[in-house]
Amino acid sequence: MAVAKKGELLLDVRDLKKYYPITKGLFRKTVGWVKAVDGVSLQVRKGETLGVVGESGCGKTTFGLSLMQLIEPTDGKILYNHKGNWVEVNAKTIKGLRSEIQMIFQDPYSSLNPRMRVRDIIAEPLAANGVTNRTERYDRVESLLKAVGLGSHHMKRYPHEFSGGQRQRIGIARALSVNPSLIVCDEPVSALDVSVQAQVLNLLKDLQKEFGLTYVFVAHDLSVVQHISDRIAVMYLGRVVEMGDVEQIYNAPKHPYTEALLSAIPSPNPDVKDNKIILTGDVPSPANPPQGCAFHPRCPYATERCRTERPELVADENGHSVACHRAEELMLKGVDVGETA
Amino acid sequence: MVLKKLIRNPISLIGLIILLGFILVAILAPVIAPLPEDVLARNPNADPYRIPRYGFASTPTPPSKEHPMGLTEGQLDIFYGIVWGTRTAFKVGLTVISISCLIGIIIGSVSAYIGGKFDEIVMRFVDIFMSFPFLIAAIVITTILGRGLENVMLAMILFRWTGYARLIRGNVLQVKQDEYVMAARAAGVSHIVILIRHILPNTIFPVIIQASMNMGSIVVTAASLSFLGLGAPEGYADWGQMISYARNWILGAPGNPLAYWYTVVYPGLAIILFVLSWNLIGDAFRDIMDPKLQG
Repeated sequence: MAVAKKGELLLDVRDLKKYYPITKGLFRKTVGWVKAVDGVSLQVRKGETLGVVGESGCGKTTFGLSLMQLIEPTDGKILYNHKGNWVEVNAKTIKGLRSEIQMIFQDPYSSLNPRMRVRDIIAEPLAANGVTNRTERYDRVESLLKAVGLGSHHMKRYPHEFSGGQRQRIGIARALSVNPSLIVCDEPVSALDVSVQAQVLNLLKDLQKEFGLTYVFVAHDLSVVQHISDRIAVMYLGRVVEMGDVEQIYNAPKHPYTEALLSAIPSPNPDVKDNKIILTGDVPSPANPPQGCAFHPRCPYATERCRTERPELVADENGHSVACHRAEELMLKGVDVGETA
Repeated sequence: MVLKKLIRNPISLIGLIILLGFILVAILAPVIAPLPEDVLARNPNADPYRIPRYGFASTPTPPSKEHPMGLTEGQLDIFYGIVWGTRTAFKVGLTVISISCLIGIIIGSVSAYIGGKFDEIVMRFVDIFMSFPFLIAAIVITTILGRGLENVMLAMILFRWTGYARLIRGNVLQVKQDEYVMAARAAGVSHIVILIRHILPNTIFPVIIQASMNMGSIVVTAASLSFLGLGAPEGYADWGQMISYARNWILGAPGNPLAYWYTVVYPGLAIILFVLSWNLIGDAFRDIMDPKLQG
């Protein structure tokens, strides 16, 4: 991990926001905003994997889609290091960056067009990015299929002939086809069986080594991101509440929300006593977030200050940042990295 | 592939056989029912769609050896009219369906794909078209443009495309949220290619099935407009027109209700069989076009 820390920055997200209007009445008057992503700033270094974790509705998928400009962000900047030059990623520049930034989607059952053959699915980004020669495209598809553990005999088949894991491999091959540097993985294994999850995660790791890829890995499952990430950002209600190396987050979490998430990881060892922290209540509505710290209604350590003043994300000398007023005084329980692997 | 499955299914096989029969009749019309020689002798370029007349008596003549299905009031040959009317039925059905389908698919899919306010405006426009009672609208159009098959077809196209537009719009709205459309956008595929390669192939089949089912009803509508005297000109080979000639004779003669059965049964049978064949095929299409059932 220390190696990754030294790496050159590849992606620099500054205060990214995505608000959805809430409309009412015949004339669609905007009566409020759903703050799906509310000021996310983070950096990703070349060759590392940044895990983005949070429960449903915390804005992690919106964040991933905004990076790809599949959703137009409301505000903020996304800067991408394109061969040494910093380029702002926006609706105009994204066209030229499609071969640099690619995406792996969540649901392998709906991310492949059921009426297209596998070779055309994988070759599509190539065709859209200037590889006009069909034989050249199919040659590339053949080598990609081998790289993701499928064979050239699969080229002419349709998606419905494959299992979930195989489909996700096709999705990975498609993302790899244009030789990107950065891949945004939007919960790529959450729709798969646990046994297949491990295979796909290992494949992603191997491909990262082979092609020198950088991942932004969105997931709701801390045990999955631990396996693949170098650094982790924990999101809650559209904001990053804690960010740091895997060891920092797992061994010494500083945010009560991270602690609760960690305690929820199921342990395969039956002798380990469960000390689950059960969070009460639901995630508050992002349309009407609580005053002060957004987590305070569910936080067992909340004080008066938490109810009124919103904590900012502050980094310590080791690069471990947290947004909590009581981060210094609380001694939160982590888990042993390796125990849950 | 599709044909093989249509043949294997007994219901669609019946539909297919009936339809094939109609196609044969339409193609072979000049052989099955040639214009009588005396008409050709008078005018070698006579329009074959004009049903030959064998007299001017106002009472229909029952079937005989020369006229196997009898003669209508005004002594028009029913057999001839039905044979050449098959061509008219195909002409009207295929033209109306293909043009209105095309218009509906383009407007509906583009509207749904763009979405938002544009979609809202287009759909209100569709609502306006749909709020007219079709028969009254058709009467108004033919009153303005004059009687004739072309104008009837125009009226039908004008009021048929909205159904297809709505149908495909609903499908596109659903499919455009699918991740493979998102994936295509992430790949940098242009909007028009996304629409043609990703969205239409996954939304168009319900429309095609609907269209094949509508083939029959289009012919019925055309027939009813002809029956009302809006469609084909006097003496033109058209099934609806044939039935309108039977209008005064449907109840038969006093004491013999079946006296003029042939004036209504033959053209009626032709329409029923034509509609039935398309419906049977449309039903079978629906099962076949499901990609999950493809081997």
